[in-house]
Amino acid sequence: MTIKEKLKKIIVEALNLDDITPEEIKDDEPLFGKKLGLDSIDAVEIVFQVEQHFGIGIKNMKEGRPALQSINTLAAFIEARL
Amino acid sequence: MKISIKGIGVLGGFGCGIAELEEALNAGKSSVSTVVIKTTAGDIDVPAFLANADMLESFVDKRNLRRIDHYTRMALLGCYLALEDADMLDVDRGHMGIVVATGYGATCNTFDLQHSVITEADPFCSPTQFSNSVHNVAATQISILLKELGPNLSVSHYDMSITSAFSSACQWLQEERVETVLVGGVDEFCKILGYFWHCLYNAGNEKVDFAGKKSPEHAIIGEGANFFVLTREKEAASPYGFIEAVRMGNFERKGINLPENAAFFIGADGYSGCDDKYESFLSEKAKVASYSHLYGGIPVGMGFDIAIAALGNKAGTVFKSAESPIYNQGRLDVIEHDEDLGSKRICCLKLGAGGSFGWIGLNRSNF
Repeated sequence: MTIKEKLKKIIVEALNLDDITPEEIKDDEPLFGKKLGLDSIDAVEIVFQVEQHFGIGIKNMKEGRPALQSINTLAAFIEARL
Repeated sequence: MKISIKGIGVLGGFGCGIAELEEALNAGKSSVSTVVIKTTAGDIDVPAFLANADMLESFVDKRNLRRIDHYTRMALLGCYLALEDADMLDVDRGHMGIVVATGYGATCNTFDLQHSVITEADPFCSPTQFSNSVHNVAATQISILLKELGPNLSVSHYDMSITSAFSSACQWLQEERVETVLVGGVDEFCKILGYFWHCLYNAGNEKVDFAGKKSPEHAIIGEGANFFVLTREKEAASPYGFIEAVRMGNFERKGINLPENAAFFIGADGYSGCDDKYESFLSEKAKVASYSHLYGGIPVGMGFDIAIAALGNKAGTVFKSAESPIYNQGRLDVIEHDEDLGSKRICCLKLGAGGSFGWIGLNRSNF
């Protein structure tokens, strides 16, 4: 499983997005746009899940804001630190 | 002032709603699930009365439930069922108060959160887990989803949370702070409670009698929710009857003044350590019943007894008890078959740790 596939699976399962499948999340679509409907609490949950699953901390807003734009940006952030 | 029960919403091991509770009362049993718990000594099987809250999705959009855990879902479903039963789902509910009782709180999330603090350190705790671990999460979500802005109270007490919650609810109504109160209790099963049961009753996988005296079925851990819509009698007479009195105290200091001409629903479930004390406070041949064989050992179990009492008021019947509800040397008259309620009131009695007691008396409206 690629990092992108794993991230999509984590997002759907950890955020209880029962009405969407991991495959339906596009790599470049905004995580916090209308389709997924995520909010700031979800952002903190994603930070927690990335730490849990990849051992990589997103330490502050400066790191988090660009990293949490999409699956592409989040995967790139993780790959650069593995 | 009489306090009417206008609606009831229950879920537990017996099923979901008052119709399924009545079915379990008639059948004299509920279905027991088996939970497998992994331990360092291998897997253990623990019986439990588990509740299914899936029906909540017929009241609330699925997206609005995604951050809400099983504990709060049970409470929410109990509330919606009570409001539906009171025919208050789609009407202006006016100024409503909310009181939620719990013995354990949201145990699954609390223990999961503690585990993550121990293993990961607190900067990396799940915010969803944290927000679901606090005891007042159920009352908060009920208030948010029902858009109720009246007084909101969470009561956490192992044995007396239901009595305490009803005491507050009745006081709010008597003071006319609110027009109605949504009051009830919720507790959930978690594997740590299951492991506790295993150590207490079933270590070595040998079938043991509860407290060496009774069937262990009385001590099977339960989970579920029970909620009631209460209002002042002058505003709505109810077939479920009315709440005549709510009393709390300490029996070691002042004894217990119990009502006369009553059937007693005993809150013996194998956990408070007081199950063999009920007999000493009841008069010779007092009519007694216990229903924990239907909902299990659960701190807010008294709420189910109140629901059964209210259903009894409506039907004019005292439902048959578990066969051996409490330690009974023959002084008490266990209700073995459904009986005509007649003019009797029903007293739901709970004895707790440290000499605490609580009872709630219900009577039929037409007596």
